[in-house]
Amino acid sequence: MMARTGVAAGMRGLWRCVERLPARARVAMCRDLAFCAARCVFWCVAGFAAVSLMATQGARASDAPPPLRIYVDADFTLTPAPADAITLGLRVAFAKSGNMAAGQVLEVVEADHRGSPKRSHRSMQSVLRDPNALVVIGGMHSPPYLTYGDFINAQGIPLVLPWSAAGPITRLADGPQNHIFRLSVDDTKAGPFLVRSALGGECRRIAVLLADTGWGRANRATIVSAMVQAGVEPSSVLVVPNGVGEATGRQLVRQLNASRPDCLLAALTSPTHGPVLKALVDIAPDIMVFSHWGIMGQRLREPAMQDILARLDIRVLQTCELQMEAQGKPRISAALSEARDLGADASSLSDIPAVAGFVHAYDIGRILIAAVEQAAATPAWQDGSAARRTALRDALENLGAPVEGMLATYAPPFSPVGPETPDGHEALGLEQLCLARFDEGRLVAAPQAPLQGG
Amino acid sequence: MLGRTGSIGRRFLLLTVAGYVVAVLASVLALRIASEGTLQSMQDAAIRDHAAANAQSVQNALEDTALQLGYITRDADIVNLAIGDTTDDAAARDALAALDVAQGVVSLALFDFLGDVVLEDLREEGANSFDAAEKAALAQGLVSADGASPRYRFRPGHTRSMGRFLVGLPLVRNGIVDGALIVEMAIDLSLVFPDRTSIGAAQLMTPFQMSMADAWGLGDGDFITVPVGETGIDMILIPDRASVALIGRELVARVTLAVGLVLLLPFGLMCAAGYRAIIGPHEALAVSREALRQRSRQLRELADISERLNDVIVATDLDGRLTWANHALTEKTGYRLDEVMGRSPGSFLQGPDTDPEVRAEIGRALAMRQPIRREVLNYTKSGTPYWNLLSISPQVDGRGRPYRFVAIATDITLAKRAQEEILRAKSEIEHQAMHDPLTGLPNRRALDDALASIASPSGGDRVLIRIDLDHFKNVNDTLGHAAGDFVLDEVARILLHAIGEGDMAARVGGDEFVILLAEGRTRADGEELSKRLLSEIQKDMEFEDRYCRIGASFGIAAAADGLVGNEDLLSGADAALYTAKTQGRNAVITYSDALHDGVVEARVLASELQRGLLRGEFEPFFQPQFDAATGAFTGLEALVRWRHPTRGVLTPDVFLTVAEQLSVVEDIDEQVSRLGLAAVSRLNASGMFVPKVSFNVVARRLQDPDLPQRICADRPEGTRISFEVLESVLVEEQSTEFQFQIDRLKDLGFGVEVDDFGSGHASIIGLMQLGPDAMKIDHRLIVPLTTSDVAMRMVQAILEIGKALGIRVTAEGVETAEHARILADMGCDTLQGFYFARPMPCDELGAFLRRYRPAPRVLTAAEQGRTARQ
Repeated sequence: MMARTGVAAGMRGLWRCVERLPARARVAMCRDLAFCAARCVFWCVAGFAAVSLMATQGARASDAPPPLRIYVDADFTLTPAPADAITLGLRVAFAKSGNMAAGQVLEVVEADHRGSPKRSHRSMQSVLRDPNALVVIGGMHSPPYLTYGDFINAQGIPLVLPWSAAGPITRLADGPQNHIFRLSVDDTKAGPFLVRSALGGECRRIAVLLADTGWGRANRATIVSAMVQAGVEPSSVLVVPNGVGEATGRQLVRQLNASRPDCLLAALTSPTHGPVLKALVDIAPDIMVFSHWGIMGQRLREPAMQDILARLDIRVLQTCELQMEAQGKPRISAALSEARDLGADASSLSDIPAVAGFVHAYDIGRILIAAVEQAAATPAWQDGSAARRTALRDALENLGAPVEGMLATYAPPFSPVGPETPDGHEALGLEQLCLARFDEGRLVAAPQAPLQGG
Repeated sequence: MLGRTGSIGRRFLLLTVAGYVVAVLASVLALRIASEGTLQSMQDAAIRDHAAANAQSVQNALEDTALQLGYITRDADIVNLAIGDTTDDAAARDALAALDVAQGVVSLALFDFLGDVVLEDLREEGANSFDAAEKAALAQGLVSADGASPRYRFRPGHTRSMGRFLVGLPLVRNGIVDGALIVEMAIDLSLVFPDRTSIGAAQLMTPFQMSMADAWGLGDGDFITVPVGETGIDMILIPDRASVALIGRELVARVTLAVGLVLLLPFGLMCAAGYRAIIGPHEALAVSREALRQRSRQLRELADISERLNDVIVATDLDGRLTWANHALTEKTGYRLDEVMGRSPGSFLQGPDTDPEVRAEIGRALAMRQPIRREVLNYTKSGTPYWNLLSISPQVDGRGRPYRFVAIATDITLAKRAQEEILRAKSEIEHQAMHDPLTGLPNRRALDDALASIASPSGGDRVLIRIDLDHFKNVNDTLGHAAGDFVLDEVARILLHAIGEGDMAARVGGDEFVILLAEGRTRADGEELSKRLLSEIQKDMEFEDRYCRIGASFGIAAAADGLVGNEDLLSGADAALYTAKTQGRNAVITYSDALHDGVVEARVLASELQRGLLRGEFEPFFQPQFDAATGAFTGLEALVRWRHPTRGVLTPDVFLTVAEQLSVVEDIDEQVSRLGLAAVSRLNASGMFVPKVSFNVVARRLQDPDLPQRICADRPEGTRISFEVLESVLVEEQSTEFQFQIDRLKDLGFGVEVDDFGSGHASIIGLMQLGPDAMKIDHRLIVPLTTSDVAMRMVQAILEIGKALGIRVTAEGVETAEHARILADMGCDTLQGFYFARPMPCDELGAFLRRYRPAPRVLTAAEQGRTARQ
């Protein structure tokens, strides 16, 4: 009662004030009050609707099956471009299926190993502890899986590699013990491919430059072996140490140039290639370079590096997505469209840094969905996380229907690994390998030299 | 007195030093009282500083270790193992094993980012080591903090000085901590702490020890705590109060030193000023008194000495009045002091013969207040003169102004007399040295001095007359030396009487005089004077009632004739005199150009002659002699010839005069005789026997005692050797020695012949005394033989003399057959002359003699000779 009286008194006082205002001012004030009232009504309705929706969703979640977590075990800190491209490819592939597979939400979890196998190993341990973890997608590094590949196989963690190229990773175990698959370049094929490309480019004297890592040493074996098989002796084989600087880079290139090569086969990693390429520009700019894709990384976007690449006659090993884009494959443009829907600034594949990661992850995503759909139909799918992961592994090896990816149609992508089938877990072959070149910092398809031999 | 002064100075110095010491002590005491609180603060600050320094040392040691270990955390093998790039730890283990930079490393452990050990290197077992949990905790802290700073842990070691440390270093890769390296070290803290004893003992504390410090009563609660940088380790320092107190004492010592130094300046200034104002004048006065005392003593001694001196010492005022004199004045002059006091010494000591000039000089010196020293003639009171060496000196007062004169007079009378005697004797000696004692005329030396004194480059108008008395020897010989001296004295008188003012007459030899005419006199004056003198000298001179007459020859030379030097002038006059002599004496000859030429020629000839003598250019020419009756060859006369290199063969008339002047006649004779004897020996050897050969010699050579020996050495076998001497020796050489030598030659078988008999004195007595083997008639008597009866009679007379004395006679100058016939008829023994043969050299002579055939008649022989020449 007292409150009502107080409000009435206030209203009367307010009205008296309004009465003293001019007529136009009273109109304007009434208009403002009307707008204010309309806003209040709108927000009240919207708030109610939102609360109602959330309540509905919560009720659904509690009823829906748990999500399927797909871990991306990559270096998102030091070399984020490949990791981001892989994540983007997965998300685009999943988005194409509404982020659902076998009625379960597909959830991408980023596990940053910062280039450290130990951290990758810890991520694997996290996967084991996560009941919803289904599969791990690798990053660009091979060492984590070379070091802990046996652990991964032993623990039955399905691991699909969209980038890591080290040959042994997919061949650590035979049969059902092998849980590691790859849809990427296989160094056992990259070496011969680069040798054949160089010889097809009419190289006569070929030098070899390798990173001083396990990956580099593995490539040395394949490249030199391929050259020997082709009847070509390398003019020189040099190893680039870790942490190489400009002075060491120049010394290496001078040493290399002393053997008067006309072509260079390079298997360098991203942190070490800068000083070497700069020394090549300064000392031997006419050498034709055929590089493994280890040099691909975010630093290629730096202006200084772009200048170096523009002045070098360099070709980089890639899979053939750029060529296929050039051929106007519709599934590529569709994937790009999906990527744009997810916020990526990609009118063409060349706009995506580390485009191979994007394309390969997309195709893996598509294969995973197919495998999940196939595995989910098995009884084991319901027997817990370990059984579910085994079912997925088995499905990956035995996909019943072809999967259409950007690079290829996989029918099937994988098969069991055995002594007779070392490439069973390799989705790509030599036919998917191409060369790319740099055009103003962007990778574009390079003319394909005719491959010699097998 | 000086000792007292020194004592005062020392007392003053001691007082000043004592005051200085008291001031310093008082200042220090005041400072100590006032600065008690400040001192405590300073000691506390020193303890804190010491603790901070020790803590800083530990921090530096740990940080240095961390810095040295840091690089291993960036090693690729270490990092690869830590991050799991590889599980093979061999390379990483090798990298750790190679780690040798940090001393005292006990163990190393490598942890991954999870804090798990991936590698461990245990190098040293020891007590009190950290356990694995502590290391893991430290590693976990590092990787979880994700930072780059090292961390440390401390634990006491097994001894008091040792400390155990854990140094945790993060493995940072690309800004991400991927692991940790934990290094355990054992460090000797005694080497780390800069000084453990001066201020107090420092020790590191674990957190537990820190928490229990109070409970344990550490340092009785007297300690301070300092964190060791950011290491998380604490350090405590328990101060050594006794040592800290030293800081206070050191401060006091420094302050004392500073105050002492500061006060040194004012006290030093006070000391210097005191010395200057008080002690200095006092010492100066003492020195002055001492100097006065010594001066007074010196004066007394001087006065005493002056009274004992023989020298007169007087003192006068500036006006010259006597104010003081010593006793010697009375003794020397006879004046009493009271007589002369107040008078001028010059007024009673100087007399009529005192040199006025000296008196004036003394007066001027006194007026100018200057010292003077002169020899002055003084007189005694009795009027006896005596010489003084007077020295007068003005005396000056302390301001340098003269106030009196002091004179010292030394008697030099005896020295003066001795000096005069010496001068007189010296003058006499000089006169004797310059004058002829017989005539009193200046001698040759005086003449030389006179000539030298007037010598000038132009020569001047000098005229010189040389005078040589003719036949003066005769006077001596006939009238005795007293007469000779008389004559010389008389000639000197004549000369002195005749010469004019400025002329100089000198006796320069036995009978030789020279007159040097005064400047301005001419050659004509000389000639006029010479003639006048000749006239006076030729007059009879009476000596002891006997009369004698002499003549004189005059040679005049004037500088105007081109005789520039004195030697030339003398030589010119000599040449003129010689000419006068040769022209018959008693003549006045003036030097002329022709004479000059002759002189020059004579000089050239003299030079050539001496050279020719050395070269052996003088040789004998032989002129044969024949028996007048039988025409037989009887001998040879060796005649000297000079085979001149340019002028041909010269006869003696050309060079004999010059040779005589050069006194080389004997040398020429010697050379000719030696060659002649050799030639004769050759002739004898060739079968042409020479019965006799004669050589012309001067009388002096005959007196040579070695002559026979030299001749005998070359003497030809069987040939008689004769010496021809001039007729003049018969008169001039009558000494016993000469005669003895002639007799000796004769005894030795040598012959003696008188040459040119009849051309001179023709002394029969001399001829008798000499007793020659032969005498040769001068050709001037032979040539006119055919035309002059007088000549014939003279020759006949000489032949008679020869017969009378038993001396063979040889006629020279036989030029014609008539001469030969007449002489043969007259009974002449031997003939020699151009009619028979000219003088010829040895080889021609040989040919001549081979052709010659003696004939009974001389004519025939002569004809044979001509035939032979043809």
